Amino acid sequence: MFLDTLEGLSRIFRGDIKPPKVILVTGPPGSLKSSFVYMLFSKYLKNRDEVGLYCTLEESVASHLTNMESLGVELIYNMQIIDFSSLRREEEEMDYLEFLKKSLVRFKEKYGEHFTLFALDSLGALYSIMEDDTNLRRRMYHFFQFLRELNLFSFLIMERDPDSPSQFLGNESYLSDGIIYLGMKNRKGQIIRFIQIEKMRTVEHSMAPHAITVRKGDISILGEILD
Amino acid sequence: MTEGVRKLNGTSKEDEKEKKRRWLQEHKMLQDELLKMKFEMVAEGKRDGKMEVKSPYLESVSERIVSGRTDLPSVPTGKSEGGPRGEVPTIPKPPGLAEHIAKILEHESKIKRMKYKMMRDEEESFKRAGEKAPKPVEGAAPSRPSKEIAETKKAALQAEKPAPSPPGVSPPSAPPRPSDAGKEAPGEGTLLKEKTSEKSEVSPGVPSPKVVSSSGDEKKEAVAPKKVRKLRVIRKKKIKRKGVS
Repeated sequence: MFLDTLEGLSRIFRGDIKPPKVILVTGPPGSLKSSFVYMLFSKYLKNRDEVGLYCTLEESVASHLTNMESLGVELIYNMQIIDFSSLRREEEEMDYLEFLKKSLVRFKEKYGEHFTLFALDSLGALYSIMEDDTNLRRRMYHFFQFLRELNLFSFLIMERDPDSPSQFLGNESYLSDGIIYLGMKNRKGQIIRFIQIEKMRTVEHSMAPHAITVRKGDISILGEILD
Repeated sequence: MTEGVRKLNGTSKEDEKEKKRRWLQEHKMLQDELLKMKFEMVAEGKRDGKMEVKSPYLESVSERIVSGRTDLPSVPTGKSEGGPRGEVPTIPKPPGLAEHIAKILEHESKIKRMKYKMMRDEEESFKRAGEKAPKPVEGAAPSRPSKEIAETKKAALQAEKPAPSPPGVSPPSAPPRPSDAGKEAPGEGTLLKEKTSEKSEVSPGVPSPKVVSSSGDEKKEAVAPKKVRKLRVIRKKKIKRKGVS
């Protein structure tokens, strides 16, 4: 499904990823997590009769689009962006996880089977605005199940320090179907960006880090990084 | 539905500007829809007594997005509030919204009043129960604070001391006992010594004749039981005999 989106993805995956999937996109700050997901969506939706939804929680839509424009990523008209940051009010008690679920149901009702892609930027931000974080693992389990029931490709962006485990409060790494790690390595004084697939259920894939290059409006996956 | 998606993407005839305008319009509609949904959720939560009602209709998202730029949507800064707005249609407030909120608030205050009344009743019942409460069981922990106990002890000790003489008049001096020679003036230390000497009279293993009251603050010399008195007599006799021999 995604093999034709980014150049060089076939170097990592031996087969295609099929929906539904809940995939965590993790990495330290500045590792192009948002850009990677947005570019992937943009490339995927460009010539397809499908609809995507990108949900930003901390960044405004204007700021997000400006960032994408600077990277040379086109605005795709069959991808909508919703901005929770403009809906948030301080000192307001609100279950944002439930709200997000309702929003997705509304979107599914509107576009039906054409609604196939969903991105949440970011999971950490969602946790920070959740008033009630009791039974978080159970709630996240139900949320992930809910996303699968909608038959979506869901990409959940999550900040993560290098060498730290890919789990926050809700043990997401165990619950998710896949983990994509975007990192940076210093080699001979040069910073190299890389992508590493730590987990992807039902698909044969390489576990090795692969270098990536970012050109105007495009991300390409290069060869394996050898130590 | 496919047509709808095609509409979003635009046909080849449509120019880029038109596509962007349509996308922006769609975005605004979606944000407004979410805002409305959020209000509904907050109102629902309020009915359940979980959430606070805040009116999200103070400023709609479409009001916040100024369509100054046709290519990209932009969110205005706080300065734009109250200023001239772009030609963006705003969602009209649903009819009877204020009335609905007022009803919710009235209901909430009613519940609060009821809760307050219940709390007051409970408090009063506790008070009443406290008055009728049975006296503490003997042997239980002392009810009086330790400070009060210390003060009582001090007062008792002071009562044993001779009363202070008026100024200029020397106190009536009691004839000094031979055993008191070289000793301090009667005070707490002396009393303690006297007490210990009293105690030494009782043989080990025999229960002390001193009884501690239930409150544990006062120590009174109670009448020794018959067995103890007998033992004392026997011991005195023994000492006498030893002295003779």
